Amino acid sequence: MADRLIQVENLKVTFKTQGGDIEAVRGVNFDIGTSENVAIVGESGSGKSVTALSLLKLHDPRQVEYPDGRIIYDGRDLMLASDNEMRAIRGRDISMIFQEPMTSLNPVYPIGVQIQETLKLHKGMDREAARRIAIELLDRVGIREPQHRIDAFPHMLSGGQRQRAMIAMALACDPVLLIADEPTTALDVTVQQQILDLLKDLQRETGMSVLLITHDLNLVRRFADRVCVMHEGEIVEQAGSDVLFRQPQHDYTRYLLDSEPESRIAEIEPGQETVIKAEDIRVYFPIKKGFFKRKVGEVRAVDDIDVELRRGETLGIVGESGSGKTTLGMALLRMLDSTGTIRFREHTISDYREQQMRPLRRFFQIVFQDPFSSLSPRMTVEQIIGEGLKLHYPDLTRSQRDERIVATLKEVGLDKTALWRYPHEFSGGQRQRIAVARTVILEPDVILLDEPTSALDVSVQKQVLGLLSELQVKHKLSYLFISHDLRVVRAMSHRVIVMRAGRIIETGPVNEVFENPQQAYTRELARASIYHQV
Amino acid sequence: MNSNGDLNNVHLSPGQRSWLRFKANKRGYISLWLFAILFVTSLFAEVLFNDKPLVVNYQGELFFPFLVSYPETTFGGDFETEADYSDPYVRELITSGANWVVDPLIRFSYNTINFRSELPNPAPPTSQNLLGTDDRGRDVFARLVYGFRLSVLFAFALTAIGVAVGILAGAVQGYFSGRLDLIMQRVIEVWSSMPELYLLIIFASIFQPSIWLLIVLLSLFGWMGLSDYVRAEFLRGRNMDYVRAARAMGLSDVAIMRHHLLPNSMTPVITFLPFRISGSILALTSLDFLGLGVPPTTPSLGELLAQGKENIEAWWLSLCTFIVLVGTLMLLIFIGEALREAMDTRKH
Repeated sequence: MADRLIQVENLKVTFKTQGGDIEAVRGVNFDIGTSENVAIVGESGSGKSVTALSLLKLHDPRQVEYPDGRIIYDGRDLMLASDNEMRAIRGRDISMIFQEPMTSLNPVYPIGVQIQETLKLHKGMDREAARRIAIELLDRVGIREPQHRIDAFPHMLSGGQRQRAMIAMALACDPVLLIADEPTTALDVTVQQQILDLLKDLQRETGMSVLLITHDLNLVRRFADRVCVMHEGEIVEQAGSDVLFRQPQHDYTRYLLDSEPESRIAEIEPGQETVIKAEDIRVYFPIKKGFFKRKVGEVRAVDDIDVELRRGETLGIVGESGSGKTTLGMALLRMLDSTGTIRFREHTISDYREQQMRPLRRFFQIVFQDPFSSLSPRMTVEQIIGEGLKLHYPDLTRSQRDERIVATLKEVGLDKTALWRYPHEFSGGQRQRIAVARTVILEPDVILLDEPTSALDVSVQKQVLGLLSELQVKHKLSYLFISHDLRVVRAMSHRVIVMRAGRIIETGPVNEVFENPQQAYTRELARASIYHQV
Repeated sequence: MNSNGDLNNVHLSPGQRSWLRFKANKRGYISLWLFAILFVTSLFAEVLFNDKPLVVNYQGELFFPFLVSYPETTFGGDFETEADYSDPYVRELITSGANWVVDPLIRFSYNTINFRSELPNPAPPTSQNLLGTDDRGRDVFARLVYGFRLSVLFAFALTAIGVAVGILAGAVQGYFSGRLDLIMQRVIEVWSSMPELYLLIIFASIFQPSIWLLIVLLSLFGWMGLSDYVRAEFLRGRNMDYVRAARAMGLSDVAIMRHHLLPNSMTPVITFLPFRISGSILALTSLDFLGLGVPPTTPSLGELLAQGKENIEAWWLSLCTFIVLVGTLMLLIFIGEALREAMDTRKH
């Protein structure tokens, strides 16, 4: 076909490691037309990012080999292009934006300088001209007051603004193809939608093509013209967006589409006791300035919040990043200092000192978002899970302890071969199971789930949610479920709290809040989450 | 070598897997064996290199001169002082008739002076003194073995103290941070700006120099470099989720520091360990070389090197000491390298 911009034929990518070669991509064929939006969707480890990086040959040649394949662009094979030729293509013809805008922008330069750099390099502009164009670009990507913002450093911008700046940088030389590698994953839901809308608008304006890499199949529904589904290094299905979603052919595609969390809310028997009752919770962080650390103000991270949690209940806490969700959760478990009263059963734990809290700690456990940083890399699974047992049940003999560890491992779906292994030997989902096992073995009353599934693939997410609700019913656990992902919260929670800037703006049973939101902000959140849905 | 297959065996305990990782580094493994053999042998130096016999059977009675000091009169001699077993007269007394003697391998200790050598001191290697003698007629081989032992023990002690204090100081600073950290950091800055060598020279002239004084003085300064690294690791680690999870579990500060933060902060400690040990050996050697170290009778590599410098034509002095010194340092570095790999649980 004549309007094919770039054609990838039988691309194979192999990583050379000490333990042997790993075939990351095994013979992938696809093409991108002019002004076409193509999405590559797959779970982590499917080879989607590797494929995208190969288009620009951004891999370290000492670690990566291309045993086979051709990438035809502009009548030549990029596989055979020299480094100098590739450098000319990168940033000018094909540019790229990355997942984490904080780390892909250089923190020591203002964003303007970084945009101008590309202009100077590829278009040979002088400073004045480059600056003028940079301001125009920032304006085009929707950054307000671009003439001031151009001198802002990356840390002075919000996540969404940083991603916009990143896009401005990528657009500087009017590329014909923009590769967007998970451009919205690190952003809040409402911002995600804005970024996708922006990409779509820009694409319409400039006529460039966009290759979108994502793990979220539903995200691309509105965006992409064509979707390639990748699984274990191969494209298992490739079809027009409307066809793919209506009639998925491959089992794996159906599996992905089916991985949306389903409602798992168990009925609570009436008359269950209240486990945690908190009133007027406030957490203020002082802002200090100057040599003598004079207090000049305060950040009201949590401002006058009342919470009540019954046995066996899940309380969802939703809000965007910075809204104080995690701070509230930590304050309720007395991991942070706060004012107000917190009652746990007959204890008024808000008055307890750390010494008095320690024996009660077993009743409050936390599962964190990132299963990679929440398990100590130098401890075996046995040590990780057994540690709390040793502390809170000192009477157990070694064999009794081992028995309970194995039983708990079984409960979370792992077998006893896991005992002596280290966390790095497990996948993200398995690690999260270990983190859950570490908490439930102590027979807690309350578990704070801080974005427990955000770092996981959709299909794994579903399994972990299933595990959590099973355990809840079995052990009558109460969950504080913190998430920015409304689909997940909706699937798990009995009641929800919607937070914004440290305050509760809406609260009530989950269906009422989502189906009949009273506040504009809640409506916006709900709309953004529906955008993902069917 | 099928180390990968072994390491993936899940039935192995963590310790066994570390050992397998250690063994996978052949150079380090061989170095460990060599060093262990040399070090253990040197621990028995009194049995192997001594001017006193191990066992003497004199008139049906057993004596152990290398452990107990006997006057010459015990063996029918004239003097009340300790018997000189290299004296031909004493030797004849204890070997005549039914009496017998079990001698050490080499009949020189580190400060035995070979009065019966016909050559001027320092004397080149002979069948009697395998590596020659030094400028006072003492056997170089014996002095090297005793000197090696002293150097290694000294290095181990100094390293152990330095690492322990460094970890403790760094851990406390990093974990509690804030004001305590600020104060300790300033104290360390002041302390580290003390001129170490001048202090050593001053102390060497005030006090009777001894190995213990050296350990104390060097330990006072040796811990500071390490504490900075450990502090940085603890500062980074204290906000990790696994530390928060441990706090949520109700662990005490000490338990969190020991079981969670310490194992994850060991990278700089392990990395610097071989260099610290070899650095300690070098420190002792160079202080001895300058004459600021141990008293002159103590066997020491540095003192031998100094002698080698004074008697440049006596090649056996400098060459042998040089080989022992470089060999020891190299073995320690290789072992340290393998140890570092073995401790990395993330490595297969």
